[in-house]
Amino acid sequence: MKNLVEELRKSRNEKQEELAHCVGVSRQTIISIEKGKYNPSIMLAFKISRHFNKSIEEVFFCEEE
Amino acid sequence: MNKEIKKKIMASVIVILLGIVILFSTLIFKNVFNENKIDYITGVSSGLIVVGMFIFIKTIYAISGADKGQEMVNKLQDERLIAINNEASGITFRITTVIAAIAGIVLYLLGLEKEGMLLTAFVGIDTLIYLMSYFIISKRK
Repeated sequence: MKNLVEELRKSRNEKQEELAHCVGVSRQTIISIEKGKYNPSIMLAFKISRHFNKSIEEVFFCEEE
Repeated sequence: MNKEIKKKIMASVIVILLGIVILFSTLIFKNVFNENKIDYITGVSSGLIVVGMFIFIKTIYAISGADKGQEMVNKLQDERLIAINNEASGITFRITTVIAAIAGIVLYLLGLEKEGMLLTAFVGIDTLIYLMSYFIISKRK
């Protein structure tokens, strides 16, 4: 699964730590998600998407898409 | 206070109390155990007290500041860290079970039947507990 977390975060001039704090995870988890190493649960994906005022599909998508 | 932090504090207090109870009961029932056993039990109970105190102080220190407290809550609830912990526990279980099974067979072949039997029985009980927890968790989820 790929995502636009890094792009969306950078567009808001937000630090990884700030995003992590807002969605209730550690900074390492945000790093892993951005690198595509870790696929978040639906709940966390929902929290991240909501943080950026986007739908889950707009932030997270399958590689084939 | 967050539920996870409460749990952590409770766990550390239980560990400390367990250590104190074991330590005092060893001192009270001094005559029951021989010196070597007393040294061993005292060591284990002191270890429990130290570990419990360490976790307790660390948790209290972590929640002393608002940001630090939130950081700790995030770390405790972090799904990735929980997943890593679960995976590491699974791997540890598999490796220790295989090592114990092999060691049990080796001990048995070396003529230490009682020890070998105990170790293989431990492997059996361990696997049984795993199957039971698997069954219970699968029913819940």
